Amino acid sequence: ESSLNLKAQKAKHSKSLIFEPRIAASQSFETIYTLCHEGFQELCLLDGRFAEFQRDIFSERSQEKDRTQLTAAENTELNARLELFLGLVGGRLRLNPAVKAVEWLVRRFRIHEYNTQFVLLTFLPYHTLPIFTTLLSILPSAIPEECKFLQPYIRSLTLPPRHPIVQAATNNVQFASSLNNYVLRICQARQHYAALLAFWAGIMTEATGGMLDKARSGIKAVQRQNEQEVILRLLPTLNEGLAMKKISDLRVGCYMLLSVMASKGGLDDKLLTAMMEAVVLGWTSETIGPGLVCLCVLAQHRAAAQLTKRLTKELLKIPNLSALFVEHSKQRRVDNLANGLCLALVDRLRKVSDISGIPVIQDVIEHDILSDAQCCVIVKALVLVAYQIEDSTDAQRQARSHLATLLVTLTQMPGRSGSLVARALADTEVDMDELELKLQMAIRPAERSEL
Amino acid sequence: TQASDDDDENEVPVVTHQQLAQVFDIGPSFALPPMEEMFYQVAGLFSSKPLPQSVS
Repeated sequence: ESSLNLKAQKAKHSKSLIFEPRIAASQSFETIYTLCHEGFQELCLLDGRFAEFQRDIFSERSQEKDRTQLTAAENTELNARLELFLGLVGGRLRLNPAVKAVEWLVRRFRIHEYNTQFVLLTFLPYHTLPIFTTLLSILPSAIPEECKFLQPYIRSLTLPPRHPIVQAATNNVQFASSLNNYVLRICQARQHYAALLAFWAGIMTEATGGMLDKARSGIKAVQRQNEQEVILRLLPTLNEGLAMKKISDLRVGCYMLLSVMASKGGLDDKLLTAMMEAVVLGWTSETIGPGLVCLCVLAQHRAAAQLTKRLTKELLKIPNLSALFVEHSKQRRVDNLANGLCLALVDRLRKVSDISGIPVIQDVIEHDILSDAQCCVIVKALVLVAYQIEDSTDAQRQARSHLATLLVTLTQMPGRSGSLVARALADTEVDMDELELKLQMAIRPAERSEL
Repeated sequence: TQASDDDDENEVPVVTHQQLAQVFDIGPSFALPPMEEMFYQVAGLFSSKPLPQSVS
């Protein structure tokens, strides 16, 4: 029995990312450590954050550390250290020193057996490189259930293409959740790197689309429920992802998922509004551009209602908002967002005589950003506010005068916007003669009042 | 998908798996375009066509 045991141990010792099994089996830990530690030292030169691992998993003493002799608590602690190192080395796996360093974790701590899932997720963005097949070749026969989609590639020792990974994320709830949690954990530890976030965002964007398509393929009665389940599963990841506002790529990846969800998910207005608020809360100079586009996409699926106070406030902070609306309107519909904003601004005028939104309203109408119907509604709303506004406070008097000027400017606009404004004025229920008298200003074009 | 065609005020494009895959499946993870660029492509697929007056 002891010779069997010895044979099994030898077989385990022969698992290596670098050496042929026969050679690996004959190596002492001292030999391996010397080689691997070189790689580790080079990593330390590249990134000072590696240095802390010198005191435990890469220390001289680590050569004698045998996991099978450790208590459960010690193993848990060791796992935490190993995974912290793996997270950090993830961004460097195309470099030889990184592979050498990970080799130590394989040989000494058998991470491929004890931390299989974490190791697989760390290597997965590199599924197109030979190092991934090497990893597959040393995995134990029992791999975590959610990674079973890799089984055919383990058997044939070939590189998995991207598609089966997307399929796994679409169809295997557990795998999708592990991938999401892995990425969030790496980001929280500030160990993220561009390739990981690009990989994650791509896989999850496609998977989200796939999940929602699948949810809608069933009978009508359960479609809605299925959709809701998909959305509810993804929301925690989005909340956490958007909360890490300084990690721009993570945030923009979340914008991708939100765009897919809004377009395919049949979300209700309440959820769309919450998502829109999550987009504007904490956007930075780097994420405001894509954020605004994401808002446009979300708003197109929301009923044409005024934006919330929070959304209005954050949008008004963008200095060149109108210009951005104009620019984006050439590529896509931005009218629902612009309309929702204008409705909110008119409401602020009416309620608190706040005139700060007037230039935006003017630009939006002048640059033909709204649909015909939306434009008419806004103009009529402005006329109504001008009619209703009191003149008992300074703010009200000022608002009234600005409104009057705005209305005159709008009626004098040429082209499409001008004729829409004229149509709205002709259609309003407000008595225009009375309004002009009240504002002490001729709003309608001169030739008309002369008639 | 036919139903959305009736609602020409806000036509939501139908995006296929292939179209989405074309944004991302263009190379290894470490050689993909910047995230922002990929986002604009995704948003482009899912955005309704601009209003006629904006493109004229």
